[in-house]
Amino acid sequence: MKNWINQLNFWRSCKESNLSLSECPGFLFVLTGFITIIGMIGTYILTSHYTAPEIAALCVIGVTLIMSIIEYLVNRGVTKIAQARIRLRDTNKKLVRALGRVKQEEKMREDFISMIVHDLRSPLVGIRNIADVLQDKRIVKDQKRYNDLINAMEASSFSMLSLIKDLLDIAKIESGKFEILRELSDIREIIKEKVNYFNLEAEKRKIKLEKKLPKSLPSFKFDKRRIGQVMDNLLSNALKNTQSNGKIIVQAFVHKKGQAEKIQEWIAYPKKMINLPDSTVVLVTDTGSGIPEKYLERIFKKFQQVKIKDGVREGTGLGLAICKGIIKAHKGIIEVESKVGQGSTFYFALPIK
Amino acid sequence: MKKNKSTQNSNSRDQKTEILIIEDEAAQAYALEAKLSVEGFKVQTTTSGKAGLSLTKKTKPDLVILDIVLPGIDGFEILKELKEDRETADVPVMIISQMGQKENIDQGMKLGAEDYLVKSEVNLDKIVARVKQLLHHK
Repeated sequence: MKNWINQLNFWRSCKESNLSLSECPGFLFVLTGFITIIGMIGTYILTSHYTAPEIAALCVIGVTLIMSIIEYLVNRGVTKIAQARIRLRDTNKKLVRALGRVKQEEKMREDFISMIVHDLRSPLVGIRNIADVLQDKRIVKDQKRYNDLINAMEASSFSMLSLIKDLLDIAKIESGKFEILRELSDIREIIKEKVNYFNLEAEKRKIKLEKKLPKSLPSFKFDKRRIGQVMDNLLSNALKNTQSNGKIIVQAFVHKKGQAEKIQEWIAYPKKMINLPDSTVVLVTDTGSGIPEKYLERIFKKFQQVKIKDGVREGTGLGLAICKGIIKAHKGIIEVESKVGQGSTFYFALPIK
Repeated sequence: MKKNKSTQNSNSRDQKTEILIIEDEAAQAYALEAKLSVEGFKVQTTTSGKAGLSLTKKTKPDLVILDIVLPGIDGFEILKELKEDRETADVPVMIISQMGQKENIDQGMKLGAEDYLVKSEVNLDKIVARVKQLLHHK
């Protein structure tokens, strides 16, 4: 009796695993027993009407038939179990992957926070120490050292301030409260101004900084200061990543919706741009070491610190995320194309309204 | 008065004591350099870990003051390399870092640092006192 209840329980568990009654091994066992009993009764009845060879033939046909039915049922059950197993394995894999991603993001967030804490505390400790050392009369007498200390203190406060500014920008971008101030401007002026500004450092490092601009570009409404900030970021990144005797080119052109223009030998016209409304496109190309493909897709995300130069940490990793926020606020796009050993091109397109 | 006297004493004694500071935060490096200089030490400063490593091997200073978070090569790697090299294994290393967790300090001491100070917990006077203590024990 208990066994029977167990069997019933087994059927219930089969049902719970989404298997029908006929696919339960327990059911098949009972079915076989039932068929055997019917077969025996049938044989008993048949022996009184038919001769032995006829019965034998009937038995063979009957057994074959029954075996086929049982095999079919068993196969169906097994296939379903196998499919369920595959589904389970896939789901498992997906879960493990998702968990890995969450862990990785968590780690990046932690790294980012400890980096910010370090980058804020470090100059502050420096400023405190300088303030401390400046109370020493022996140091104040040494004019050169005194000036160096004051300059270092100023540089430290400046680096703290710019980091705080970046953090506030990121916070605004993330909360969706980032606002831009559009005014009718000429983007050529901004490019010229920024190229001139960075030319000083470029010359110092023997890097050729060129601009190739069309005679005129349409004026349209955009946030001059913010686009200037994007240019600052792209140009300072390009300078950081280019060795001396390298080259940086700033180009600009007008994109017409649906048309593809040749940008550069090794850059295919970006698919994302073809359907963009008429825009002004600005490109900054360097002959640096290039960015490995695995970094490209997350380069505009915050918390990303792409180690390009011998593992040297460059900046806070917020610059490009802020650029993306600024360009997005203009309903434009910002992208990068890069080949290791050849260089990188960062470009952004701003729709002309 | 007493303090002045001892400073003067150490001034004459440490006249040729060379200290190399490896610290990437310019303000901190300059402050420490200024303080140690007026205390009578001969101080050299570098903000790059790699340069610091080769300078130590070249000049063999009497003490290396080492930061941990540095661009390129970190302080622990520098310390390990210095202690593994027979030429520089004897150069005492004082770590002054922001990283103040027990495991960081343990790692530094295990790698052979003579002292480990946590930046936000010490002022310049304390650093100078520990430097003098370390050099006198040598």
